[in-house]
Amino acid sequence: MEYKFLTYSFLERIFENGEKELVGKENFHIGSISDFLYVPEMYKKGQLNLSPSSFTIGHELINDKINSGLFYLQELDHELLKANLFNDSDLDLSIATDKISPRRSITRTVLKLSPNSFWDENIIDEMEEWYDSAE
Amino acid sequence: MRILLMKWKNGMTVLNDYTDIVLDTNILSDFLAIYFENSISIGEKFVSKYRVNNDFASKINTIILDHINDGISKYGKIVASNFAFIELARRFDECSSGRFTVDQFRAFIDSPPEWFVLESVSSDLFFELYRLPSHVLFKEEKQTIEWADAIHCATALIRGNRSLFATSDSRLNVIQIFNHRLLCIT
Repeated sequence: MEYKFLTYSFLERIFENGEKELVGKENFHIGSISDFLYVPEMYKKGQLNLSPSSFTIGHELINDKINSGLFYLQELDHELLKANLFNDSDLDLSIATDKISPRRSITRTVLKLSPNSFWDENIIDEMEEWYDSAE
Repeated sequence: MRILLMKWKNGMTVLNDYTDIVLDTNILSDFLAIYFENSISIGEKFVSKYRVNNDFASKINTIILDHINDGISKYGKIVASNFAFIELARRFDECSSGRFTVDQFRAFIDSPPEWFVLESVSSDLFFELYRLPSHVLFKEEKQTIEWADAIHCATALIRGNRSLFATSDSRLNVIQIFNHRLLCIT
């Protein structure tokens, strides 16, 4: 199975277009909780064309994908923070820098050192490329 | 039966059973500065300093003492989002202002006191973020509540409907959800 980075754009399309957006997308998608949590922000600012019911439906669709094992949204817990925020004896400047957005900081943190075998380098590259083009 | 509602006395919030206090990034910075400058880890008391006023310092001491006395706090815990620690790291020099070192910051994250919780950034925040307004009318101006600020607000909300939110952002005072729950530190 191919692993892909679960981009914010894809999440946004699921909320806007519902189930049809998921047809044929059977790859395993790995993403960051920060992108998921950015959806309400964009909705409130009128950047998403959604009714309140589509908002709930989109949330359920994504939860279904998570429960069926096709989506994985890494959350930022204490253990992950401990493992990622420091590099030897100093702050890891790839995360601890205000040169990137707060959202990207979280995404880098949750994707960088998580001890999962599927945390392939290509996911990290995809994540960086997506943020480069989006921000 | 214990009183579950937040009391409001003389314009000040009162700690109640199992009331957590959630800190935003600016307050977390001052909290850590006092924590290390005043040797809190070896039993000294929190004092009013920087943006931490007397009322807030007193509440923190109540929580700490309660833990020390019987190991089980009936007053809840001090809480900050893991995102607050990332934000602090992103602006470390500005936030620490020489008041604590990277080593001390790391030591706190590695082994926080038992009365302190580093709250996850999780999907639990999703609907709380949805509930929060994107803008507030403050001093007759429409002002945006940015995503990063909203994460702290949502963290306070998921800690239960009795949690208090310690913030330096007085714009949040006008958000209805936080009615009587803000410790606005100026």
